[in-house]
Amino acid sequence: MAFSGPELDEDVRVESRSSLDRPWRTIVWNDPVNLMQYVTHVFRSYFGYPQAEAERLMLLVHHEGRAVVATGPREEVERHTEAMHEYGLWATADKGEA
Amino acid sequence: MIRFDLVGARVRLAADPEDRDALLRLGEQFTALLAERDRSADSSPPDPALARLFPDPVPDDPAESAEVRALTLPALVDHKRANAQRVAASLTSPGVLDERDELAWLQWLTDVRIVLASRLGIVVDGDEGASATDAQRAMQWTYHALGSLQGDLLDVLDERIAARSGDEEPS
Repeated sequence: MAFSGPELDEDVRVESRSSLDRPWRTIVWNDPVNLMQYVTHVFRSYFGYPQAEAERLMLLVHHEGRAVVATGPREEVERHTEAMHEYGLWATADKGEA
Repeated sequence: MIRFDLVGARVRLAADPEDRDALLRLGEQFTALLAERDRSADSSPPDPALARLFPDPVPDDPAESAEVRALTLPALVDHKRANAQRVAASLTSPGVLDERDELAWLQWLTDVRIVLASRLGIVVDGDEGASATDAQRAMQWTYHALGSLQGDLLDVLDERIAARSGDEEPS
């Protein structure tokens, strides 16, 4: 027990918050409320995606249940996630897969 | 009847008194629900409609999520309240909308439909929602009517984008 201490916890915590090894991502999840036309509109007008890319992402959400709509540093991804909540889309931020 | 029409590059709203009053009442109820969120110090409110309007931002990391929520939730609640106020103002004196009004309408219609869906138990694709009582049937009708209204507004916005990209093509 002598070796357990706050240093180890802090290291783990710092590692989990870092964006240096892999980017954070904003994920939009499927829901039964939002119209496909609306979701496409949000991806196009908020992220500036071309119509075809906005539709591709919308269809991913619809058929696969979710789509990664943005990747980047943590703060940026959390800002995008909040913006999706302004639009009423069900979005979450995570650290991505290793 | 609520109508959105494209007049030049602007969207014009028209509303008859009956539908205007119905939407104003929905707006008041929505604002009252937001006030409930303000009062709830708990990070995850018991009302499922509020939980869906304000989702857990970082579900894999509760500590991070609580931190993000503390920073962003008040602004998010204010944003939704401001949308409701804009919609109410434009219904009270209908006419040409500015772009912030257009956004407020799109987002507010979504938020109100989220609340109705939650009340009706529309949880996954294909759910029709509860329809046992007159109140539930009325709510279901409103849910679909608001979806159709949002579709009308999106059609008008798409029409404007098409007109703009047409302008940019060489003649």
